[in-house]
Amino acid sequence: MRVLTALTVLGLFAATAAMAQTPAAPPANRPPPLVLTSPAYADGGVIPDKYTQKAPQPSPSIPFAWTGTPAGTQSFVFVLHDLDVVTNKTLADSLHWLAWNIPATATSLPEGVPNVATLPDGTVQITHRGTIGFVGPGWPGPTSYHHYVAELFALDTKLALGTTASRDDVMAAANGHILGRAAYEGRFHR
Amino acid sequence: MKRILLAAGLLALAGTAMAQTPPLPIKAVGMTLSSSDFQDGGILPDQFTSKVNVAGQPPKAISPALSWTGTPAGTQSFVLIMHDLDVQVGKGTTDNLHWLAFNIPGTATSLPQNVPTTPTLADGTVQPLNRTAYGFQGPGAPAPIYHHYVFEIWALDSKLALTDSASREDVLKAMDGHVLDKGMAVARFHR
Repeated sequence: MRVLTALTVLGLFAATAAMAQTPAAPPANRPPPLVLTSPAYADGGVIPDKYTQKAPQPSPSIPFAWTGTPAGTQSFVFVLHDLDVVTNKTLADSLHWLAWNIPATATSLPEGVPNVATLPDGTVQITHRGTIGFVGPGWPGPTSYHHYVAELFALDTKLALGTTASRDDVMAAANGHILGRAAYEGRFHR
Repeated sequence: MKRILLAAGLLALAGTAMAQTPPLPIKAVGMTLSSSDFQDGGILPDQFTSKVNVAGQPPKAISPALSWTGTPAGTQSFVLIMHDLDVQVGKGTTDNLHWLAFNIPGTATSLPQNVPTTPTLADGTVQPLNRTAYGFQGPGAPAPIYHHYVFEIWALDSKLALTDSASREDVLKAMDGHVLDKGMAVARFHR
């Protein structure tokens, strides 16, 4: 709940703007959009076992790459989450990876990002469930897939948050600074 | 975490999962959402998108059929949310809402194709104003990049005391603390 509530409460004004934003025709000079991809699996496809909890832990992080960084971008926030999970009757889903202050010059996250709180380039990775950095998909259901959505946010600022920041803190700080966003989806079950 | 089922066999499964770090949310069966009109992770056919709309005329895009399984015990109502993850609104963290429906009866297991775009349905379902219209609004992402349209069905242990003037934020706040489980499917589309 806390994440989504923060998002939605803080996004109230933005939501109002959205309502005004009816199907407008895109301007002809529209800049190329931010696009997130992964060489590891097809968009909407199944995440290979080597990145999941089926593999010896910790599994290497999934590689991602992006194009179309908006003008004025100062940093990126990257989120990987399992949208199918419900936590204590709240709106919160399950976080698998959150990194912020990724340099604006970056165009990828390589496979196997080290599980350290701060990377040499200034990227900060959240600690959650007792782990720093990427946590591989692990949904144990035998047949039905969970949906693991990677989301990249280009910000017009860096975030003044340390390694103890929560997901809510990061998204609240990002709110009002998002220049572009892109998603890429993978599915997994054991 | 998703519903923790306390059957002994599942506890054993949970124990196994917890032995690996980090602990996993465990549920043997949960809600699933699917559509006979698109494949999960696949492309939404044109008839469900704004590609078939004609300027100046009522939208021709119809909602895809949806059905769900694994409704948890105690479900009183469902909320359906469809949103486009690839659109930022202003500079905020909000994404783009395409469909919102709440107080879908707890006994329902599906929504047919072409749900009427009215503020309320005969079974008590409420479809609040979404941008400029009620009910489903077909995707319309410009070429050449696919957007990700997430269909989510949320099972609640209550009904929502809200009307068709409720905002998405109102609905989410009212849902919070009442979510028993959820199921989802993703469709992609660009013009």
